[in-house]
Amino acid sequence: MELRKYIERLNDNNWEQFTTFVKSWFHDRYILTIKEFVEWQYKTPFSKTSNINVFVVKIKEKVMGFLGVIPLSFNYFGKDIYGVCLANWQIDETLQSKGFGYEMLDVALSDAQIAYTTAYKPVLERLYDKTGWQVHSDKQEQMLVRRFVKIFDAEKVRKMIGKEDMVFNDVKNISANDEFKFSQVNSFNKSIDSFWESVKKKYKITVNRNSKYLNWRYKNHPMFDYKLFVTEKDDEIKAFVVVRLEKSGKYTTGRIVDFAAEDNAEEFMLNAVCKWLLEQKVDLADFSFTGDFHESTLESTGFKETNEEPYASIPYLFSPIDHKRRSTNFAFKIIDENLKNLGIATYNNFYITRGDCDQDRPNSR
Amino acid sequence: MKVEEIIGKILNIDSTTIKDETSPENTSEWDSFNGLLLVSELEKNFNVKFDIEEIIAVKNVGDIKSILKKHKVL
Repeated sequence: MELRKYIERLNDNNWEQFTTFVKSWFHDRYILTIKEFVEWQYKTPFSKTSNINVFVVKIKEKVMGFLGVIPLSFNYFGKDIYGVCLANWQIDETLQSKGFGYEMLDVALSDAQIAYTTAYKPVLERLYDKTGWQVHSDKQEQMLVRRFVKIFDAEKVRKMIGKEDMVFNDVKNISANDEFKFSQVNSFNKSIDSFWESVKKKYKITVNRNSKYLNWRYKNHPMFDYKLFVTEKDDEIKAFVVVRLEKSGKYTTGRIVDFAAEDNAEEFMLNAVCKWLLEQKVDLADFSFTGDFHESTLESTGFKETNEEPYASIPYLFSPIDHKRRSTNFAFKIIDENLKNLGIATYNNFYITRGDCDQDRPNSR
Repeated sequence: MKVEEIIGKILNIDSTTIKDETSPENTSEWDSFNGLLLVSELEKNFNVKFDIEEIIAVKNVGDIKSILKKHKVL
């Protein structure tokens, strides 16, 4: 049985069958029914083809599954490589455990040197494990995606999590020194490229955060309004932050979805953006990422890791607020064996933020 | 080779524990990769070619046996 002949790329000809499957699996207004969004997410400036990087299983004119990969440029110990983020993987129940998932994965990763995914379904863990992925999940008792939060309005957060007796510290005022200049920008210009070239050695394995990537991911997002900030000294960028304000009923969260900084600008940047968030009257801020980065600066600027209570009770999802989800798993695979000559990939040196995956996405309802 | 022995070999489980009700839902070893190997191994051992409707129809070991009987190889 040749399963691969049933796998093809998403295109204009199978778009309708694809959306029919998506609607049956999720709901009529699910984000993947919006073509503009699908094309933006799966035809990035880093794609090797002009096609949409979604692979569908089509049997007798009916789409019965799909897997999407987001093409990205990666920094791997100083070398630029081609990588993909797996995002969105569904397969009809009648096709599960019959080889279609394995074949789709093989097709989707065929030209990538590195791949990663977050918030994958636990049922996929065995397949990832077996096919050479390094898996970080509750089951494996390894480090998951880390999350830090900073509480701005303790009373409202206590109400949000339903724990009136929990003690948090309010943020009344934040001071930032004047060694650096903090400003909001509309887009990232070429000076961010110089910054990224100088700082990327700090983030050994990560998405290349150059102007091409940052403007595609944040400035040109078809649906979300991201706030972009830079810190400069002597007209040179020393740090950047990307934030999205998420409102859910009476609560507002400042979601730091991307952040990179030279060591000596980390604290200023975080303090400055928190000062801005305070002016926006957010109730809390959060920042999720993998790896061993920024920890001491996050702590010194008042962020707390959510690996224990009361911070563990703070929801991940706010639209709508979801009190069930408590963690985000993570898995990666080094596909190009030659990369191991440049350095060994570990959880600690792999830097992925919320913005690098499909986790910061609209949730159409 | 019996069907149960082939399945046991691919899934790396004791073939004597395999019943008609054994399925991916109650057998964690029966994942996508092993499912692919299983189809290939069954086709090779019984010298048959499954079609896509047969693949879709399989829910458990009993269904595999029914399809092999339909092919008159069991």
